Amino acid sequence: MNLELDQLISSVAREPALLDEMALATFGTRVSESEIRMLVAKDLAGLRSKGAHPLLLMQFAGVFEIEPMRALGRQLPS
Amino acid sequence: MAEVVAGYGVSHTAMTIRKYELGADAAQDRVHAAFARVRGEITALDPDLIVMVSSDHLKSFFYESFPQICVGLGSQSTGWGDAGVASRDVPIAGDFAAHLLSFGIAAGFDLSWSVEPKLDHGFMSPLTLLRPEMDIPLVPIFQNASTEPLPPFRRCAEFGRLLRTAINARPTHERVLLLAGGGLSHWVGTPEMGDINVEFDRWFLGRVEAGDIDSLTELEVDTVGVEAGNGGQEIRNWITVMAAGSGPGLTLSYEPVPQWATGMAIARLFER
Repeated sequence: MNLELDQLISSVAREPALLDEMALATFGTRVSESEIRMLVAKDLAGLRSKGAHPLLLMQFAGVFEIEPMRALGRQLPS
Repeated sequence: MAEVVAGYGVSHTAMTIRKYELGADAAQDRVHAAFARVRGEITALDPDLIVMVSSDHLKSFFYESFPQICVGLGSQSTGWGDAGVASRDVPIAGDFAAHLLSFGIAAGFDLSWSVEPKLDHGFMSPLTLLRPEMDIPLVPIFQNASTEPLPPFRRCAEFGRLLRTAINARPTHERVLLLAGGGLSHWVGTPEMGDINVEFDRWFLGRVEAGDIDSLTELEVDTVGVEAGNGGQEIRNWITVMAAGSGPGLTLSYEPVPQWATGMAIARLFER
């Protein structure tokens, strides 16, 4: 588990505009700069590797209309 | 005393609603036909209320307060409208819910409670398919199936037995339908998402049909995570309802549906 990262993902999933603010400022959070970069890049696989909760990744994917299976590395038929 | 009239277990993926088109896939049609069958059975049973054991997906509860088992109180809840399942108002059987809570606490079961918690697709997807009128009062019971540490299956069965005792101890006569939501095997938000372990699912349903709860309570939480996925942990809701009844269950439908990334099952969980 990565409690701090999860809290940030949850906040973004509920208020997507926060993501734009994060792109400009990384201070004030307890997550690492690399994790912030993954969030801004909407890098589901990267966030997963940092211990993000899978259900929060699904919420995040839903808000930003990301196909989670492909983003998490599964090979899908084209 | 109140009376348990039936107990069912149903998968609760929102994709059953969000990604369904009649006639596009025979397996999906069979799943919907099974839901329609149970919908008819529920109408015929004419229950006064539904006690539903399902799981939240970090919508109503988060890290500031995270219950293992939580009873919803009050008079009305509302759906989150998440994952493509429409938000609806759902009446809460508040007096009955308060009875279950008080009985459980007095019996030494440290239940949490929440007044009019919102309901995500874990509740709303089955309810939409089984009782779209939303006119049967509900006791929503949230059981943690998503976030470690997870309760052992033995404890989930103990909770089911407590439910039965509490219902029998109710002085008024209500007809109570028990409903479990979730499972069977599926992986959510992980690289394995899309896998379905048909062998595990069929083994699990075999235990349901044998009324063999002992084999299920012997399962290790970590083993289920490996064999049935993080979503497969929702079988604990079935185990709870199974333990509230007795006798063999009956599988009404099982379909591994790759498009919904879930082993979809619908079953009666006990005779009486």
